[in-house]
Amino acid sequence: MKRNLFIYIFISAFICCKSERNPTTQIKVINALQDVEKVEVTVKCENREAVFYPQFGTDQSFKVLPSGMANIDVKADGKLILHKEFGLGNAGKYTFLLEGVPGLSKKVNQQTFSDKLHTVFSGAESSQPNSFLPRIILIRDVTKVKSGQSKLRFINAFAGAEPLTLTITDKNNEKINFTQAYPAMGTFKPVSAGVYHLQLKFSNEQHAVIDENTNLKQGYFYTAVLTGDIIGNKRAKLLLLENKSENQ
Amino acid sequence: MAKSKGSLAWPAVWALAAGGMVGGGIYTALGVVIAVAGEWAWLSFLISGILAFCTAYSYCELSVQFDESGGAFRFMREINKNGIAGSLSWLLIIGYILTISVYAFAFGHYLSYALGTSTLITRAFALAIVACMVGLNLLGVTKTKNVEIIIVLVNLLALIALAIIGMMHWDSIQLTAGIEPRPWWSASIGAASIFMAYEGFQLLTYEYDEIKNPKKILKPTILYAVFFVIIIYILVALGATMLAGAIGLIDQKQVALSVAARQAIGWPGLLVMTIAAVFATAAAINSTLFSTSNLSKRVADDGELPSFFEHTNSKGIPDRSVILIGICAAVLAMIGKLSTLVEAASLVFIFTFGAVNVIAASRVKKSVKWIPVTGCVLACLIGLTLIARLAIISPVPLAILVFFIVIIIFFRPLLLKKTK
Repeated sequence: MKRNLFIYIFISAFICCKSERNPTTQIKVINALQDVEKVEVTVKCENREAVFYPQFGTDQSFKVLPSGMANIDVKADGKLILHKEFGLGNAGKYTFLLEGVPGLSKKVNQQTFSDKLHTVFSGAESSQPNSFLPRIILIRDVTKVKSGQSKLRFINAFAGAEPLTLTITDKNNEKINFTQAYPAMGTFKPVSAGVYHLQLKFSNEQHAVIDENTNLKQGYFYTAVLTGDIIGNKRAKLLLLENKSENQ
Repeated sequence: MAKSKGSLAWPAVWALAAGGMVGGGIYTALGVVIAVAGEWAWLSFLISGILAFCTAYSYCELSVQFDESGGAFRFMREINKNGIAGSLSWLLIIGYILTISVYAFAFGHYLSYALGTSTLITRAFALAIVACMVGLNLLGVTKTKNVEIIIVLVNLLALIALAIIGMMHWDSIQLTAGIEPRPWWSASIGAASIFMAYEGFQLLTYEYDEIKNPKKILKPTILYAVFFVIIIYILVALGATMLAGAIGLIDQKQVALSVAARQAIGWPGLLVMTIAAVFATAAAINSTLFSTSNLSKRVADDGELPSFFEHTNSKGIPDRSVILIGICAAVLAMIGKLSTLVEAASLVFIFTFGAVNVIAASRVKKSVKWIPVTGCVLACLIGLTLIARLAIISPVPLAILVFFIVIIIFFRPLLLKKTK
């Protein structure tokens, strides 16, 4: 029995190593930066470049780049506000979410002292309520969804907003709540596929900011991104990013 | 005095020491350390491994010198530091409770990930495994060394296979896939946050009396085991990251190794890793619960814990300790957050290991003094780094831990006086 297990593992290892790798990656950009007319994002990786002009609170299509270490420049109304480096893995699928208030930023990659401490000690999990300085959140758009199901996560990218609760209600009136404060990103919750009523409320208010129906399809997963503009008075908007499960 | 008729020969001692470390640590530590140290996660395992190696040397030297089981508590008593021994034993018991809760947490998450169950069921699994192990301990059917050794070997084989498959997929970009590259010095912060992954070797010092010819075999065997585990951890950290990418392991850090195994060979990989994780964590809960309850009884017998803990059932098991430790660990596993549990446990063990190295530094030969001294220095540096990290990102759990330490130091004598 033990011997068979051994043989199986090593044969599988051999097969895996013979399998083809996918040295490309897919990326897109979602713009939740407040009080900016024009945003330009340039992603350079392995001598290739992709340029995005994301509109505030709107979805985009993915672009393909080689995998590797990518340099990302973000310009808000022509001024460079962020210059970052991210690794883009093989067969990766990523969304760069831009959030914060560029008007508060006086230099490239500006951080408060508290932000710096959190970055040093938390690394990739650093997400502390900041001073609304611009930042990039990298979202990984790969997950598996069970048959007959869908998955949903909620990201509050509305700098300056109070904590919000997204409530989804199915046809049997069963509710699931997702509560997030800016700039935290929630984890996926599996839900049965079907039509849901979406309602978004500030934690301390009765009035719903968003009140609509949506169809969460089976075999797909969704990232609900809340954008809004506390300075420019743009209406709070819930963007539902749809992706196909990797096992579909 | 140690009995020279102990039954554990060196292969068993090696397997139990290696299994004690690998048993639960790597399953939960990997995602945590990658989030902190990124592509330098392997260096974090090396740094904390060096501290573990120095401390293992100190533990073995002291165990052989005093020639009896009992670990850090016994060492303190032997050098006539009764007050410190009492405080240290209380702290160690808290550390073990946190460790059991981490193992239970890992058990629940690995099983739940494979079965695709909800968060509530995940926590229920954690509760169930602790309840089950408490039951087994109370019935006195836990000293099954052969079963433990088989579990350790299966566990090690699964990890080695994962590491080999991962390394065969080598592509350095996977080390930073989806994250910003981290500076090399972040490895020290990573080392601080996952030190718990190495604590298991010292459970064997409680079994000193059961080891055959301990004066001869204990030191080389445990040091080889620690060295082997350092290599395994480094290879698994690199191999798993090659398979799932850094962000993949961070996103699902509770089940990082299952994610990597599934990525490697699909559902058979998931199945093998789930079996390995479930048995390894269950065995780790069992042995830690057993050792901790016996430690509690020994400490109570010495008058450093209330006499309530001296009580044993008809099978000679310290039943009240087993039940109380089980309840505390289950509650923490039900409500706790992985990083916080791992780091709080790490802090307790870094403190304990530092104390053991201090004792060893004053009692070993001059030519080898540098080993415990290195252990002391590393324990101080890593401990301070961890305190800084907790103060910045988890101040509340740190405050709770400090509160318990203050209680232990200042109110323990009062409490003991009252119960006497």
